[in-house]
Amino acid sequence: MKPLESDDRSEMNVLDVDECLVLLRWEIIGRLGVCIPGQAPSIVPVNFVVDNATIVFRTAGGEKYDHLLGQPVSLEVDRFDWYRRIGWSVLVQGVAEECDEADVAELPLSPWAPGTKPHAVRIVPTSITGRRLELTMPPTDSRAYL
Amino acid sequence: MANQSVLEILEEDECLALLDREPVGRLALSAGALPVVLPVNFTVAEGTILFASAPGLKLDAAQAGVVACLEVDGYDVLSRGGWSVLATGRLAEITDPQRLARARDLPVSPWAVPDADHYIELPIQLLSGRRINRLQGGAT
Repeated sequence: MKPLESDDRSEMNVLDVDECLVLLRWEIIGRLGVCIPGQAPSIVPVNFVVDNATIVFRTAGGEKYDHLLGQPVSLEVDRFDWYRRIGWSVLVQGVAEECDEADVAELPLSPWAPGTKPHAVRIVPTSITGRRLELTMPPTDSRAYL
Repeated sequence: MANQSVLEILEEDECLALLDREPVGRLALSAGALPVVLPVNFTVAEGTILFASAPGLKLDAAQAGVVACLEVDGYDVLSRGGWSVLATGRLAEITDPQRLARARDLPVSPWAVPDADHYIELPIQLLSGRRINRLQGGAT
């Protein structure tokens, strides 16, 4: 199905932090972006929750985890409607920190991936930004229907 | 609760098929040592990932030839399963007039950015994918 050619009929709007947090709380999967110095950037989907305006997710141990801590990371969530060419995206940028298990024990964190994920990681945001693409009002015909 | 799922590594042709099917991916690149993840409307043509861009972060990265990755995924909340594919390469702006003319015919115009007249490619140098399959039933 060919999408609507709506480039001139939709507009980009900037979301404020509160709107971004509302959208983040609704989502359970985000894309974690990591740039380890000297390596190619990577994106991994993660199950996450919002905890007091921070992002918490679980991960397995190992090299990946060691590289993550103290590093700048991003978490992106989005929803798009391909047919209407509308949607939104939110980007959280921050630093990944180790979490105390006691602090996150009550959070509804249950990774989908198999294997044990003993480490909880918290992203303390340095910025939360978002955009929404929405349809502008179609031009109204002065000859009203009724 | 036991985690009743298995992780499957996807073959390259399946990764390509999934990339080909998705209109929107997320591009990750390093901007000032910080990872940035941006949604892009892309297509796969001539063995490369292609998208259009207005001047800005993505175009700067392409002109500098930085290494970036594009991710696509799909998931199902009810079955708690999903897949993701990651393609990595070095961004480049398309400047060859013939390739540019072909790129302009592709369905890659960014939504709501009518003045995006630069075309960027991400030749796929590394391609990987995985799928989480939920096991049906469980122990009796």
